[in-house]
Amino acid sequence: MGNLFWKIFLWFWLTLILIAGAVAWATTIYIQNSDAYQQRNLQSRYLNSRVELIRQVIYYGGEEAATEVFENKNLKSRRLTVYVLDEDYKDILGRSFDVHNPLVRKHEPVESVDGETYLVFSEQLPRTRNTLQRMLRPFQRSPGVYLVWLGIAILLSGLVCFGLAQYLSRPIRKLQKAAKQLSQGNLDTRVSDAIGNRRDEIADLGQDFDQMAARLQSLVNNQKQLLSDISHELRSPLARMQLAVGLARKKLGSGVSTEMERIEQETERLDELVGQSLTLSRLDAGAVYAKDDFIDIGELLESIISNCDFEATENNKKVTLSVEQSWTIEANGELLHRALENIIRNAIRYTDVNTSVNVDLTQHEKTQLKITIGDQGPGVPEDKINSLFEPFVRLSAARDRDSGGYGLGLAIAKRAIEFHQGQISASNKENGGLLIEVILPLADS
Amino acid sequence: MSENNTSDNKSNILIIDDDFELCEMLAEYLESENFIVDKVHDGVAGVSQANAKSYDAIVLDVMMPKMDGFSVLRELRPTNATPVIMLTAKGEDIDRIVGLEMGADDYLPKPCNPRELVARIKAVLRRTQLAPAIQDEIKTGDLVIMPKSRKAFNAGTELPLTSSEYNLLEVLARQVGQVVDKETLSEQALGKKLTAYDRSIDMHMSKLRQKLGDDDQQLIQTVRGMGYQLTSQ
Repeated sequence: MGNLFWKIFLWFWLTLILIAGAVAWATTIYIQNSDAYQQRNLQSRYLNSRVELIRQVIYYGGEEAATEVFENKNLKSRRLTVYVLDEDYKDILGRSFDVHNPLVRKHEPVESVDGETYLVFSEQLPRTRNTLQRMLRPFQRSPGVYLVWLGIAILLSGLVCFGLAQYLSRPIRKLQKAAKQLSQGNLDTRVSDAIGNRRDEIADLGQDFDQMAARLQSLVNNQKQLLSDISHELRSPLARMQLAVGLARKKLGSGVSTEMERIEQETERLDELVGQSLTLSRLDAGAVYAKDDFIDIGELLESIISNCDFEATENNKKVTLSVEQSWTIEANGELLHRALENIIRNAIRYTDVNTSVNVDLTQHEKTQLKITIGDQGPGVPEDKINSLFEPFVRLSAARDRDSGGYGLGLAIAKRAIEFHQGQISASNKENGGLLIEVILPLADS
Repeated sequence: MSENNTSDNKSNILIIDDDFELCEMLAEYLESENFIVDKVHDGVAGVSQANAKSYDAIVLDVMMPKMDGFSVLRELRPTNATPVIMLTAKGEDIDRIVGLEMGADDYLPKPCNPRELVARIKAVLRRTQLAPAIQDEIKTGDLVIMPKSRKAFNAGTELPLTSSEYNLLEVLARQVGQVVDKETLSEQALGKKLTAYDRSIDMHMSKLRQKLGDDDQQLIQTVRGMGYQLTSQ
């Protein structure tokens, strides 16, 4: 359940509840108001008929007859008060009233049998409730029932909104997951199938994503294939070249040995590079190497470090090794050796003069071991740290020219470690320098 | 191992490789190192040439069109015991144990330094000249080892050994009563150079002992700092 899901869900739900509530409220008020209007209408007609009755009584029977009518209990009503005023604007029953009420003159004066004129009127119904009270009336009438209905409505709208939010956010979540996988290097990630049979913008987005992934995959594969092909093609001329150098050396004797040595050295270097590229290509292509060597990791590190020691001391650098406990794991000895050697040599190359590279072997959780290799060099710019394990990556032109690195070592290390179901990661240390962390399973799964 | 077709002490080498120019230069190089060299350029010709003449060693390229090096070796081996050095493709992982079973004597990734190749050829020649010819059966105490079928029996029952374990046992049995150092065991039984951090021999040895019922390490003894020894009971 991502953020988007909750946003859609809550906002739609809230909106739906508010709209439904407002509509229900307005409707109730409207209905009740129209009820009240009809009631008032009826009442006013009734009043008019009462006023008319009294007028008739006065017309035919005079003031006394009217008084009699008022005193008849059956005709008494608390609210429907009808007043009869004589010529001095006094009620014949002596009741007080508001003289300025316009209703006083609503009806024509009536002349009684006695020849006197009277005004008959009735005051309008008093307003029983104010607006707010009327608005709240539906809730006051039977709060329990209303609460139940309200609950059901909220629940139902909640379900609907949940569905809608799921419908909208699920494919986006899938897209996001796929994009993450793609960025982690799983170039055969596709989403169209997972998104399903939709016909909307999200489905289009999914298809575009797939096209992009396919294109990316073919580009990367082409690049890898190119590297592999070139390395394969370089092998034959290189083999001939090595022989030619060997022959030349024999024929020339010791005459130009410095130059020959140089050529031999460079040929070796070329040989090494071709070998590394081929190993990388094979690891990338998912080749399976035999994992039938039992390797003592502590001894392996020690052996690598003693091999590198000459190179390090020559440049006033040191390598320290701390082994908490050593383990023997089943692995491909050559690959593992190459991986760790590449990392350690890399650290020696970049650590500052008069500093040391620290290699630590410790246990990590219960079933893994951890090797950390930390140098005291300039570290790596944060934005380049993830591309550190890509082949032929150039972090900065100057850095690589100085060191003469060709940028395959760490790429091979990463693939070799991953081939052993391990993980490798790089980070900059707080006090400067690069830290490479290798985690390997203790028992091969 | 006979040297009857050479008047002096020169060894005969057969190169089987499909790269013409490389063969020319390799031949020249090896000749300058006092070898007598023949060269053929495909697997089929390689097999017939190897069987036509007695060679001291064969340098065999694995990557060849039509018939690759392993097929050549398979054709050759039942009848021909000439030591073979395989040139494998650099960067590729070859199954050394399978190669050993098939009878390859050494591996060298190609491209390689010619000096390295010469050193390997000389090492193989030294080894094969020293080693006794393959026996049909090695018997010591209750143990019977049959190299042709790669089977081992203990008191009449066949031992369920892996290839590595069998190889170790065979190497030890050939020199029964002598200490065999780890370097030799690693190279001859596991097909790789011994490294300080490789515990494979110890691991395979402990499993081999279990299968032999040799828990008290009487049959196969560890000679500290030197190697292992199969005792002649």
